[in-house]
Amino acid sequence: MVLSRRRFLIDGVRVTALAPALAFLPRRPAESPGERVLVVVQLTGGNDGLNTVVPHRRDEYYRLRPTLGLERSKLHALDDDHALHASLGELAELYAEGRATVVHGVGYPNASRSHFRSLEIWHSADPDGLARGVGWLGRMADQILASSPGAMPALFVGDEQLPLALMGERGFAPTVRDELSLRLAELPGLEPARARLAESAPRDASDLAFLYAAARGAYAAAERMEEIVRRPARVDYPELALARKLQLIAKLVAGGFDTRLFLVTLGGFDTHARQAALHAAQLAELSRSLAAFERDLAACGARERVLTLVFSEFGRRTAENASRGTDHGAAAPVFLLGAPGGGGLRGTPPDLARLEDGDVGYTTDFRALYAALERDWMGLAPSSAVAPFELAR
Amino acid sequence: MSEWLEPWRPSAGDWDRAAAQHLWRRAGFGARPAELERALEEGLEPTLARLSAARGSPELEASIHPLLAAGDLELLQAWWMALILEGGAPLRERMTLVWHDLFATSNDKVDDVRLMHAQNELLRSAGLGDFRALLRSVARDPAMLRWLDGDTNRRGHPNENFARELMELFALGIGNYEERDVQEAARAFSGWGTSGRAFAFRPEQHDADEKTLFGRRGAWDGDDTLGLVLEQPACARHVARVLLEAFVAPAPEEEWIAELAGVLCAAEWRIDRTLEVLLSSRLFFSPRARRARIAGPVELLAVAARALDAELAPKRAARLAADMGQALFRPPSVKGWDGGRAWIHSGSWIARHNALVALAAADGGRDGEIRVELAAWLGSGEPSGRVVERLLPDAASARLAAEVSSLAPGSNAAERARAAVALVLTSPEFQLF
Amino acid sequence: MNRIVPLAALALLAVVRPWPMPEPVAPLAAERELASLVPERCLVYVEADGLRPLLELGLDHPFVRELLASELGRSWTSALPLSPADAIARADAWLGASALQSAADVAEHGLALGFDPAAKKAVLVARGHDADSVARALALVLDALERQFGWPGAFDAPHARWSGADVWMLGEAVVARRDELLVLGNERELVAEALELAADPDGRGLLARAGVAEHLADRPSGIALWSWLELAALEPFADAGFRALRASNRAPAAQAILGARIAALVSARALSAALELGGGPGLALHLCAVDAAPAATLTPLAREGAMPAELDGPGLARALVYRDWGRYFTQRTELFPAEVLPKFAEAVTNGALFFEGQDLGEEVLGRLSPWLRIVSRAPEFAADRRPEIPLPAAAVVAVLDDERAGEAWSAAFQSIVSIVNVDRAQKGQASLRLHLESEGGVEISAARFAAPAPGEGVDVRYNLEPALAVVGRHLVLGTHASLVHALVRELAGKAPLAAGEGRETLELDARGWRELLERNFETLVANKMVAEGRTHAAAEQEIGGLRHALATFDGARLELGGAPDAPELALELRLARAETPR
Repeated sequence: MVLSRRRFLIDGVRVTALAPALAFLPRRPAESPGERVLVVVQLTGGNDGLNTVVPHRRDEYYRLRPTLGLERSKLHALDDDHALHASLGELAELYAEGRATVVHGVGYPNASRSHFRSLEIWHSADPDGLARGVGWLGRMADQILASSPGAMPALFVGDEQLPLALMGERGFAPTVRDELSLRLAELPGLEPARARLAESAPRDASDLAFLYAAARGAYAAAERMEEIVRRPARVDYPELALARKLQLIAKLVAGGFDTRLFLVTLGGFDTHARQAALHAAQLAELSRSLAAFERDLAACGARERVLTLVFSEFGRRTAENASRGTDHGAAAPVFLLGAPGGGGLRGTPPDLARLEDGDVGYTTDFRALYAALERDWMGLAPSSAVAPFELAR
Repeated sequence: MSEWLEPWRPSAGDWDRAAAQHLWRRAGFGARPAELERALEEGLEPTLARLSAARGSPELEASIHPLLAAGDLELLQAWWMALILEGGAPLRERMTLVWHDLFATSNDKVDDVRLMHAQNELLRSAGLGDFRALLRSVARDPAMLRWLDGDTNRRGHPNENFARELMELFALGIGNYEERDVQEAARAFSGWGTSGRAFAFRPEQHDADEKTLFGRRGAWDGDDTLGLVLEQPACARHVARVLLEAFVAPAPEEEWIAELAGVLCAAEWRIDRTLEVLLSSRLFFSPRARRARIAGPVELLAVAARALDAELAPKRAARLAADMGQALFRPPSVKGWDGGRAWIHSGSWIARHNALVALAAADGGRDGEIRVELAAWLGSGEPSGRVVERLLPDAASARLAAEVSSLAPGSNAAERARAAVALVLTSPEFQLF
Repeated sequence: MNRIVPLAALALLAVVRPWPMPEPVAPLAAERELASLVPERCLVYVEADGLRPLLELGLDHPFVRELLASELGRSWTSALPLSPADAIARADAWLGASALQSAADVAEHGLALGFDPAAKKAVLVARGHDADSVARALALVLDALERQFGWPGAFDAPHARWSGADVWMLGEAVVARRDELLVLGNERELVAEALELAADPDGRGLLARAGVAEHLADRPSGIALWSWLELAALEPFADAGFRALRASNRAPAAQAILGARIAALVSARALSAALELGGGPGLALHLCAVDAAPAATLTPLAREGAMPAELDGPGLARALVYRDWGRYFTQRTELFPAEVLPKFAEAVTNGALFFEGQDLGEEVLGRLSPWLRIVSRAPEFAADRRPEIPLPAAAVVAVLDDERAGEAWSAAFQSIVSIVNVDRAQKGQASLRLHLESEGGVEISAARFAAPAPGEGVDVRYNLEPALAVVGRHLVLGTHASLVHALVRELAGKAPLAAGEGRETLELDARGWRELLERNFETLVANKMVAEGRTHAAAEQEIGGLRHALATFDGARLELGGAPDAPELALELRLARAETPR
């Protein structure tokens, strides 16, 4: 066999956006134990917030949803008025421990009910649409690169095309399908020769020095990635797509990989008809996967430095439709997992008596959440001027 | 003419492998071994003439036409890579890529393969001619109009997108116009849109009132605006800068820009004549210009494949280039690809590494999409020495040569050759063209 | 005195025995199957019987004559460096005798090949006319080899004697002769095992594997080849594609496309195959599955249903299939593994959206007869919207339990088109216009794109003209409106056929495919040039090769039958006659 055991495909890596990076410095895992991480979970399709955080004491709720209204006894209480969907048992437990925060009615003015447009808005943090192809996570990645060009500030775990949220002006955000995606193709004898060349490489301001430094960083990252994913799993994850992606992220975080921004998606929330079973299944996948993720992070001591944001591009209409489903709505609740979120039910609960054209109006601007995460959690410049949400109480 | 742009008259020793390769890698996409030998024999001027005037296989150029109906962007990408890899018209394709980067338009928004192809053909056919005509044609190009919201630019509701990019990115550069100019130009371009796949002017949507552009007042329309932009001294300098960055080095000196702008104007804005001067100039062959650019993905793949005399399936090549960060017809934004050091980051370096190793590893028929025969390519003689000499003639890297020659002395000759080629191709030295 | 010396000498011989006596060789029983001589570890077995007439007549054999005269035969022979007659002459010269005659002598009573994938080695067993003729033929070959390699006398005497057979070895290759039996192999152990089996009158060999003996006994006479494949045992040695095919019994997508019978066939423990060479010329392949584990609820006749009326054909292709998609849904928990169930839930949700809240499995698909006809024909288009890349048109004809159910389908079709349009509009893409057309009093719902502007080119999407019609109890759904119109005309006044013994069939007509290839020839060449980087000439040659390959066939017919746990597949391939004699 000509190729060594490390040979694999390259099409797991898709790279977008680019800009000058300063003198390249390789990073070693031990230097950055305390770096904070943000994991963003997107529920694609429009999650039905009203059946996720249920105002079960309100009669209007059951009137608006004759068949979709959820049975009070099966729900998991958050406070006197609100309870979580039956499938979100694990999230309810985290909430009870103060490790989950629920924010009511998150959205933006003049809600768009188009999947594409609304996703664009959430991804670019720019309801006016002037962002020109740059996402909020990408902007953070740019800042990280500017001050300390590390291996990869941001990573998309999935196999769709790189979402707008991760597109920046400076950095690259590789798309990683699974554990094999960053493997290096090698031929025997290359590695030691390369290592020797790297040792005697120039270290000035020239392009050549820059390239040597970049190469060194890249090979180190690939090696680290391979090492990290080879480690055995500490915790059992359910056999679910979202769980697998979160497992990879947990491995990278625990292994000291210096990526600080992750994005994953979970689809199937566009429940226009016969919502009950499908919504329950998707919420169950979300809950079980996140629970395993949190357990894993706890097991490797990384729990305190990871915050997970769970959002959807819009909620759904309060009244159910004729097909026992719901149509596109406006604002919806957002989850923050991790103790630094502060815990508890935040924001203003939706007022079913005063709906905006049949929809729950927004009471918390999503950009406030973003600003809190950008400024207070990640320590970077926020992407908008909206006053940040208060994280810890 | 300053001494920079004076023609370079190399002595027999000066016109060496390094110089010929430098010309081929900048003015084209690298030479195959036979082409390089011929360049060495013929000398600078005939080689440059070949690079500029050559045309490729008409069947290959025409092959895209029956495929446009399929609406598959990957096929269009593959077609352009095929033209580049064929090397039939090196300077023409190089210039097309330069214009694609400048007038960056992405199919992600245009969403029409026929329009992207039409724009590409425009850049190809007009790219070496009068820049003024090219700019005017690009402004009316349906793909460009869709990309920069021409259709929504209406009287009373101007959309500044095109006007801004025209001034900031395409023709003048920041600092050479006022905000007011952008706003007034947007009004001038109102009514310029598309009908189906063709340019259409809608007089009822055109703001025909007086506007002030660059301090001059008049009922300017789109064509007038383009004329006014082209008149600005900054315009010729902008084009000169683009050419210098593409062919000489990033961050060109102001005096070069000024000089080349003069040449451009004297040449009636003809790009081919300007390039004739530039590509045979002392500046172009000076140490300042040699190996001064970090290669972008498309040129890296093409140069590497051609240097190895390999056959690379265009569809695979297009995909590899996209993995490395340069998806043809899908630039990340209207700014195009920033290039230079921006090409290089951990993720893209791994992609480069894997693509180049794949080229070397395909030796011996292991890869259905890449055909390379290293034994034939090397000919006789000690393999390792020849690899560095053939791929990096002026690398001046004794360390690299030393490493290559001491590669895995125990393994067989074929494995040594592959490893040597892979080591040189993935070396930082090779990334500098 | 004269008699005592010879007797004493014999008595002395009996006592002393100065040289070794050959062991007595028990002759091979006449009725022994060749399969019993092939070691059990051979998971792939092929046997050819009755080769004598074929070999003796050689090029004069009727089938061979027809084959060489066919398009396929002509293209093969023109590609060969030697004509068949020349090749035979050369073999004769090399051997010093008639090669075909020698081969006929050697293989008269059968030729069998066994392949062991674990060792990647094979053994060939031939049972000839008689010991002498086989010995002669072998001697001829060995002599020729000696001459060829310049090793005079190397093969004069056998190198060894195993189980009563003379053995010659050349590296890993071994040839052995035992009476009229000739054994060849590229692994010594395999050959030794075969010879042991020959020596053992009770030797079972491959017959020890379950099912082989019965199927072998059942094979029809006059076939050219018979084969046995131990599919289950082959899995560890095969590639991912094979394994995926094997798992199709449990994969909904595979079941939906291949159907229960074929899925069961490829998932069976073993397969027997018989190949017949027929006039025409053509060939027929018959596969029988052994120990197939079908999803019992899905096999034909598990649920009876009417069959759609016959349609004209075959066009490009024509099929009658049994697909109980309704049952897939209603019985999904029993039929499919847990991981794929959420996909069903999603489909049910979406289905309810279009079918006015009805359950997709039970109420919609369940009210269709499981017998479906699928037709594919060359597409036809109106003059103002002829796509530059024409694709084949396809349609499905189903039978509704009752006529009124058709309205729900029409309504669903129209809803789906509307929703697709909303999605397309959001992405800025052209939308499909819904038309209600009439064909002989029958209403057809058709969706078409607006006609392209002149000079703008006709994109491939103009192939999509989905249409739906209900003719009596027949439901017709097609990709191209023109096909749906044609089918409505054909079905007018016809009632569905009564439920009964039905067999799934598929027919293909090569001429239709040839014409479609011609229409798309330039496009295919261009695609090859652009995607793979071939020159125009090379691309033309490759696609031309495809055109030529299609020209060698007339058509094919596939039929499924057999018991639910032992499905059978019969495939008939007709080769085209050469049209112009050379």
